Amino acid sequence: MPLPPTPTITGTSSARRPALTAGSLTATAMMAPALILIGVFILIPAVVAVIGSFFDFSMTSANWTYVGGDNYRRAVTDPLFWLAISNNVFIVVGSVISQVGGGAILAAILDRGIRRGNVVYRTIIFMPVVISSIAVAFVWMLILDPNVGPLNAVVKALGLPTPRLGWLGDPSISLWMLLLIAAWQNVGFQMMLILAGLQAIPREHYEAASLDGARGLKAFWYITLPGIRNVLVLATLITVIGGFKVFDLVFVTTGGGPANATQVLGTYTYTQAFAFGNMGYANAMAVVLLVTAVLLGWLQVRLSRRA
Amino acid sequence: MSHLEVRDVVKRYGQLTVLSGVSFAAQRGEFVVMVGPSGCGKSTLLRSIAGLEEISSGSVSIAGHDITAAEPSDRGVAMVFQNYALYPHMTVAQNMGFALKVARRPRSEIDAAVTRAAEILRITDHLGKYPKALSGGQKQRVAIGRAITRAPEVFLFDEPLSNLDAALRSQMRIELSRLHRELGATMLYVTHDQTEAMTMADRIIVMNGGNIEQIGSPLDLYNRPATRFVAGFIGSPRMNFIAARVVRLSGRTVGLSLGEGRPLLDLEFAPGETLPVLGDAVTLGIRPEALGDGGEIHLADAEVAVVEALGRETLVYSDAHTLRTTDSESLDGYFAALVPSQSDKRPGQRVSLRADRSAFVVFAADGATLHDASPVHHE
Repeated sequence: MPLPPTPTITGTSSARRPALTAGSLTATAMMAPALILIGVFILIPAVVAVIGSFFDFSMTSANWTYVGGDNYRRAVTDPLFWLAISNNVFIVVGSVISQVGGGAILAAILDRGIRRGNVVYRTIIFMPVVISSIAVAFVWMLILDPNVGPLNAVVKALGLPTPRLGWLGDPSISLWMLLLIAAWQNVGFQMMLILAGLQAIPREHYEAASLDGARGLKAFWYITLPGIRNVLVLATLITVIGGFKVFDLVFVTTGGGPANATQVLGTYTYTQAFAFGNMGYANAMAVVLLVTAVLLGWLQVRLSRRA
Repeated sequence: MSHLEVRDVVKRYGQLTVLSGVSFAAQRGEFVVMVGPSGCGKSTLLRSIAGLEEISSGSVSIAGHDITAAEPSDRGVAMVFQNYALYPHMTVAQNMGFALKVARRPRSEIDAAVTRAAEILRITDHLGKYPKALSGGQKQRVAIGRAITRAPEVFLFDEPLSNLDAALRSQMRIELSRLHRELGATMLYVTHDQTEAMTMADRIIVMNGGNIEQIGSPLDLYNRPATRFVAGFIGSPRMNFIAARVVRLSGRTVGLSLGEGRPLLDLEFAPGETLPVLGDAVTLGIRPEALGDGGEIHLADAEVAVVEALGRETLVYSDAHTLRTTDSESLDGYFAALVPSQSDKRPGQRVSLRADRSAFVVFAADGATLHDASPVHHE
């Protein structure tokens, strides 16, 4: 089975805790329900995926053929695997800029620039976060539809050219469109995170800084930025991890197309597993994703501890 | 010329007037304490001088320069905040050197200034630590050190000791006084604690409702309060206030009635003191240390209600139900007396409240002082 990549981070960080409190029977009992759930749905599938990545098997067959590192060697030479990875990297970089950067700008505006209606704007910007990704994908498919979508209508009304193959059908722009949808959905979350960070900086720090001669950009550099450093690290890592594990949005809107232009590791793993029946190969790719996610999770814990 | 001069400063927030035309001046090297209850405008005034609040009208000048419109950092002031306001991501040394770093001073100059300030405050061992590793008292020292490195014309303190526990607070009071003497700097200090004001100030400014009630040396304010407010605010325990009425006037002798069927209290008003009008309601003030079971005037019989042994002396609250107080902050009929701790008073005991004639202060209904007490002489 290709494992659902989403909760691997939670799984690895929670798995450390029992060792710390192993002496306490009560604590272990209290955590048992969570540990059992994590074990059944995350740890066991993860272990099975790692094992499965060294075998060749299909969904329905009972015969597992041991192939050693063949699945990993295959990935290294598979241009589609590398294309998927590069698309993931594109989404990761684009998302950090659009979501963390955009979230920071929105948070700064809400923190300082706006006196009235703060809560209203905050709510509106945050709303997409609570909508399911599938629903978001369908809404945007409608908006971007080349025949009935409002985006085409608006662009045409402005006298500008529209893509001949549609916004999601044109291989040169479809990935950008996915970036836009992801940003629309997630920027509110990053904004809230950063806004909370900004508002946690006491006013006296800015007052002391203004007496010390640090105003405007200097205050931002010496007071604001260090003050929200941890939040920015967290926001960036959440976005990076989200960018690597992206699946549902791509799967619903483009399915990885057109012509693999939006193929990402998640969709390619799915395709190999369920369309081509290459479970072993899919497992190997899932393990690559798992290792990436674990490394990023470890990095986040390390970075936030240092501060 | 005054080192710090505040002229007619008015501060309004919309309809609300927080400072209604405040003026005062401080000499170079003077330790001035602004004291008053919360909401009296003392912090707003301090923040206006720092440039953290824009004033609605008036002017502020330091060392002869009008700084009313200057940026906070260009005013020659440094401020110590109640919550320390240390930058959490900087070490103690970086916190203290920050202003000089922002001003792009050479490294050697910053180090020298930080080292010197750390030596004065005895925090040299902590220079490499982050604020979260420091105790409250150490944090406040660093905050003061941050002000010292800037070598400002005027130090501003905004209730710097109110987050510290009582023992540390009294120690820091002594240190601040020592610091003031060592630096010889002009210091303006805001507090709501009259003890801090009394112990540290060269001069005290008592504020109330956006106005200055009185400016004077600690003992001036204690012995010659200009208003009933000042009399109540300065001195701990608080002055007792007794409702009285002017029922006889003859020459400069004022006969006061303390209630139906009670003997009149005759007080001699000094030349220059304003005489009340016959029939006026006035307030009689008497300090707790002047009230006791000795003294030429018998005020009332009372019953001891609460005894607070303070060690060196004992504070006795007695209930004299025949007397009325005009003090909204104390219980009607409860009067405080500070007596030697050997006196062994117990709740329920009958006592007579007595005082010397010279110990009474008389306030008009509007709060202005009409008649001063002679300073109390302790043996």
